[in-house]
Amino acid sequence: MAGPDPARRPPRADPGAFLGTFALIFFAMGALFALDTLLARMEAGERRSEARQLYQEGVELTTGRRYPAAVDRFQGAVSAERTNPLYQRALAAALLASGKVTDARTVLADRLQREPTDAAASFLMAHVLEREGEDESAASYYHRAIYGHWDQDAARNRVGARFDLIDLLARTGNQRELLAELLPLQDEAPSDVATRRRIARLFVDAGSPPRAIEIYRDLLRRDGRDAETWAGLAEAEFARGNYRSARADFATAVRLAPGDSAIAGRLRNTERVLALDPTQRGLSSKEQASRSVGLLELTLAAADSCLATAADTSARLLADSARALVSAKPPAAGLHAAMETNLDLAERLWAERGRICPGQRRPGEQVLGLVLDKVAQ
Amino acid sequence: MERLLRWLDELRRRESQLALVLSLVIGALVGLVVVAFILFTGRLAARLYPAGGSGWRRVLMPTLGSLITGFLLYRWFPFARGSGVPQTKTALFIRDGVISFRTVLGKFFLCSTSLASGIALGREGPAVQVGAGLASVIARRLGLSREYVKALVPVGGAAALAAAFNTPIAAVLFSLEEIMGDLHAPILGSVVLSSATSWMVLHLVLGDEPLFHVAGYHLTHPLELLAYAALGVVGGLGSVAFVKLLLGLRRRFLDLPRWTGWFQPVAGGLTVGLMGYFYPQVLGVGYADVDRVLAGDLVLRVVVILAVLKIIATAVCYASGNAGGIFGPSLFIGAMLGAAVGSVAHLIMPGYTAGPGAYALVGMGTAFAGIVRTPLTSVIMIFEVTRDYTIIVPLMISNLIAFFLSQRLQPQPIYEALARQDGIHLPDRDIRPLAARHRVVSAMRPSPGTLALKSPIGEALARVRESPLDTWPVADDEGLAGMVQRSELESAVAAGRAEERLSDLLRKIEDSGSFTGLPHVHPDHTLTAALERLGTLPYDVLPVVNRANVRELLGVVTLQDILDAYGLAKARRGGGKRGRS
Repeated sequence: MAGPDPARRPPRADPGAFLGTFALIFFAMGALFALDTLLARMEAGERRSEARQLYQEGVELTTGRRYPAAVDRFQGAVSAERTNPLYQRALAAALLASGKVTDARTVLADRLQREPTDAAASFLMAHVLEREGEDESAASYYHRAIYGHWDQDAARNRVGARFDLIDLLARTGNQRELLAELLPLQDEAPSDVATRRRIARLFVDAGSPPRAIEIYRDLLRRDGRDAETWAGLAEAEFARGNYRSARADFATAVRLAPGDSAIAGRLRNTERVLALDPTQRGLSSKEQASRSVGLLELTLAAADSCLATAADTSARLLADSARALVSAKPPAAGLHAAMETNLDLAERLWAERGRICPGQRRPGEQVLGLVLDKVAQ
Repeated sequence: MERLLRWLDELRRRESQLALVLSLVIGALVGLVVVAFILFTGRLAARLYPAGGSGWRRVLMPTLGSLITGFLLYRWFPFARGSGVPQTKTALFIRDGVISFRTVLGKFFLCSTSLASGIALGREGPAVQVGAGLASVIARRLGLSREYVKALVPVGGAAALAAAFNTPIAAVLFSLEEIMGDLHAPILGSVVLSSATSWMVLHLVLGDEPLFHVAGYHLTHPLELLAYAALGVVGGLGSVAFVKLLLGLRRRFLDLPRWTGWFQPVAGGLTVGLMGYFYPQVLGVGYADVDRVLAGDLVLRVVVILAVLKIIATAVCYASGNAGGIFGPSLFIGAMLGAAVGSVAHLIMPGYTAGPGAYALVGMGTAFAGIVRTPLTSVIMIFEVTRDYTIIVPLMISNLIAFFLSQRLQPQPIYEALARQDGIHLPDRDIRPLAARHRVVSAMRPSPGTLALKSPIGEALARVRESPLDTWPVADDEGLAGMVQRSELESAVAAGRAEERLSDLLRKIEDSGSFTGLPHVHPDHTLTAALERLGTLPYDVLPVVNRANVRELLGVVTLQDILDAYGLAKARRGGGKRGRS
């Protein structure tokens, strides 16, 4: 010790009193340590009990969708027992539900700083980030949720996290990553009908209808009278461009569920596509040529209002050419060449219309777009 | 066992080593006591205020608590009143470091009861007195000298603060800056040891949970510094208002008849109880609410009301003589003022400012710097609480503004003013600047010249006789070589050695053992140090030399020069000289 005086004179206390004082100090330290431990345990116990009660109240309030009150209780629980991950996650979830996204983010950031592998917290954080429009970071947290540690029911929770990630990827149109996430999900996910159907539908979104068809067929082998599965299969066939198969499957679905107007609507749509498609097998050359004129006429009608006001003269010339072809008499010979000309012009018109007036689509043009897409393939 | 006893007996004989060991022992013991103090207060409060208790309980408990503790303080523990920091300073500077065990016991239990009942005071100041008191009791019981007893008092205080506030570095600084009033105190090592030991004990028993839970704040935009400067102004004015109110009220309570002393604390208990009926946050230390406001969880109206109520409640509670400190309430008031300024700033410039939580955090340090007047401690304290470096710059700006405003509007720091109200004149901080003014550089004069080491003694004497100085510097080619007195030259000449060289004379003087080494001072030495050095020498002149080269003569300073610098020109004018032999 850098004392004020380096004097080394012996202290006044006699050896007995000196040793006795030290003994007393060490005894007091032992007794105090025991007392402190006892009081600390008592406090921890009381705090735990208080926190548990507040948490239970919060859970009940959450069930009743009274989120602000639930937030209050969960905050109390977290204050009483800060390191409890259950309370922190419940608070974050309640904050998120009550729209306090930034606060939820703060709570979760704190939790994840303590325990970066907390999958449930990562899952909530992914939802927070998705709400804040940070899709890339959200995807990263979904991955942490998939590969992190879950306290219970890990397999089911991982599938749930992967489904949410897939939903995010589908929403943002990231087909490649979507497919990459779907492939492992095929094996991991439970085999109940609803989940399999959901996966199949997502395969369609990911641009892989053959895998979807495979799943639907597998489901139909189990239960051939499930209208929803038939409709799903029809959608997958439709996405693949197999309109005939799609019509047949939609028709089966309508037969099994006659009251389902949505499926009936899809059937009508498919029939319209089939009626327009000039490339369909089994049609006569005359029929093909006639359909190509009809398709050109529809394309012109869809593009006319857009191209009429366009400053681009080449687009207007294209429209004039189309009009001339539509109003001309059908040729007696060279039907195939005429069809090719019509279809080529329709495709170019459709492309010009998409370029000049992007996003301008009227109801009913979906079918036209599908047929032109198929023709272009 | 036998070895341990032998070691203890050996230790008993070596006071400096014993004091070092005691720093560790005191650190551990005080840490355990303060942890017990915190836990005991908390458990007692939990029983006095069970969950779902009636609102009237909030009026009744502080009133009863202050009545009971007030009587006990009046009757048996008069030194356990108030904060504990001025009492510790009084013990250190006036009572030779003596704090009785009775005071320690009284402070522990009465303050615990008082705080648990809801009195709006803090636990840190009392903890400092308990820690310092334990150090004093142990040191005296072991028979340590007065100097070591005094040296261990701040050691105990630092240990207590480290455990009470969970900030070991700030505890060291507080102990040096506030209690000792000297950041360069020689007990620094012991204070650090005890503070670290106590902090370890705290973590051993209570775990690694910080006192406050703070999100990572940062400066949103450089313009935000203006808002922090505004917080400095508000914090400084708030601090002055609090200090003046507290001192004014205390003066009135002290003027009341002495026999009313036992029930005066009830005024504080009742005031805080009535406030607590409507705003329970005013009761007790209030760290839970500080935590909430740091998370930005309280609205503007509430934080403004709480800041005002806490200022009044703490001032009345303290002034009326309850047991408890102002350290914790300062932080509470600062957090609320900070949150208020932050909320307004965020309303006006949402894109340029952080949330109110960041301002609450800076406000804590600001109010502490304004009220307690330890700016360095307050910066380090907040840094330790947040462990976040980015908040430091706004904190320093805000702190310094509050500090200077407070210093200007309330020149006397609160702890010194409190002691003065009790008729105790603690050494104030003005002494240090005074000492700084009185340095050798302000009194030294140019050297009259030097005598060459090779020159004959007779020639040197002739030169010295022409000068009013009795003692002259002697130099060779490399610089200053020694000092020689006129009497020594005269004796040598009288002995027929006028032709001998000065170097021979100096060698003889050294050989005689009457003096060894080259006596000197540096320009930055205090005049007190120069006086002390002159006292050990046989002559009245000291050479002033360069610190980088002690043989480079910068000038000389005489006893008369020093007395002149102190304004004692008349004294010793033409006074006698001492001979070397």
